[in-house]
Amino acid sequence: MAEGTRKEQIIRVLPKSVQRVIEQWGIRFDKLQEIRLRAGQPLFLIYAGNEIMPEPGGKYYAVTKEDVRESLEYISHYSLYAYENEMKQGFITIEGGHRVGMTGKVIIEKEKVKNMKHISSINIRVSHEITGCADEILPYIVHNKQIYHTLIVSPPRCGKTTLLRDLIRQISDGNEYVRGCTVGVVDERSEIGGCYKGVPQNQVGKRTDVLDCCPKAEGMIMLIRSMAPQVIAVDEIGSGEEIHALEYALHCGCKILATVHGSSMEELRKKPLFEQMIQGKRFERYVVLSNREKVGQVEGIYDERGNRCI
Amino acid sequence: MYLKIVGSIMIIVSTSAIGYWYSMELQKHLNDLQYIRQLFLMIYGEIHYTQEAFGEVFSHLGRQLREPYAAWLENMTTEIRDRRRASFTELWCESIDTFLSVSNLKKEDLSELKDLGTQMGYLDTDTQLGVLKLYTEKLDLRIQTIRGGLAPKKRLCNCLGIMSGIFIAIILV
Repeated sequence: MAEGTRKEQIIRVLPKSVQRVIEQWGIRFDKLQEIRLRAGQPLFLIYAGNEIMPEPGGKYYAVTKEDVRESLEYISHYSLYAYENEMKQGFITIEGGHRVGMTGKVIIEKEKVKNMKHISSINIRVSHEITGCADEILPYIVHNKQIYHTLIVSPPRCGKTTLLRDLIRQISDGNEYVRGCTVGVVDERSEIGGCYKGVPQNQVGKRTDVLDCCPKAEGMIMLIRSMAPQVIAVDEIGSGEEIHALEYALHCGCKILATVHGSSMEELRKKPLFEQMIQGKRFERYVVLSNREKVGQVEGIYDERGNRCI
Repeated sequence: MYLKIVGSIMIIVSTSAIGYWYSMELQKHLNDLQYIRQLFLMIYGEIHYTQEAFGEVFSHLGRQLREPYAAWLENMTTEIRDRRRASFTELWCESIDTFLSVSNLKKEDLSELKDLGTQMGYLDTDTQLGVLKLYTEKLDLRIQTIRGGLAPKKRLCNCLGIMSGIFIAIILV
């Protein structure tokens, strides 16, 4: 994504006063990771891995309640009601796949989060794709130019979604290792495609169909029936219903690309649902990630029996 | 003598035309009220069914409307997309002043329409739909009242037009 485009996408959701502060401060948007607006607190930026407080006139800028409200108007296109479902999850995806997280007073109905009001904090997380991050593992999860059923195992913040996205892109476009094929993505939290009005903002490949904001179990079945994908990709599977839908997809002849929370194969085996899957040799490859030395470090690749192959 | 007759006829024709024009204005006002009622029912339906943001709803409906309502909604779509004002109310009121002053709606209609802008963009769909429903009900009531008195008013305008023409002609001739 060009810096100009990214800048425009971010700037236009910020309140006018914060826009001026950021313009005066003169930052590079390709290095910007987060903008944090908290009512009554200083404006914070996470910039090139460091937390900074812009001080254009030698004094930091204190964010007001009005700033937060104005920003919310811009983020929601003046139509908060249209983002009711996203607000339940605590974030809204904006154009460019950037994610806006928010906190405030949660409204509960029947013991479930219904919505949020009195929003006091906004965190704009700038989307940064890492194209090519799957280059290292792709040769190990393909056979005869077709991918294996693959499960990416990783603790949070170790780059599993980024890796999954790049795998989807490469499988969809095709390259020397894999023949380009139709990929169906069930993107329940808009993390993979970063869809904005249904259109993926991240690079997910030219043969990819994204079902945005759809529950995974239901979405997998919908995709099989409607789009005949050769590969189905889902992020963070875990519930019995999702595993059941995954089994259905396996029986339909689709290749599966999925991720799950976990730090090792041993930990995965302790989860009854996955223990059964390993025993049943449902997945042919397991890729374990960590952030020991760097985010997205490959700890090991395992075969269908769970034996380490690299 | 001929000139007097021709002059009298012209006076009567012109005052009758004024009377007719005024009665047509009353009819146009009613028509515009019915039109915006229909427009808001469409907005209600779009939000209820698709839960889209105002920008998309206005952009979609703008293409199906007649002027000046089409231009009004197109302008709202652009303003929302470009996020030109800090609040929806500002955008809404400004665009009403710019585009709907040429419509057949009266000042009080426009003022009520502007008031509606202060209640738009609510947190949840139910409340937003409730606000729109309340506004269409208000319009219904207003339309009923106007429709009830329209026929006698139109007759009165036409009669007054003709009678005033005759009266002026008699005085002058």
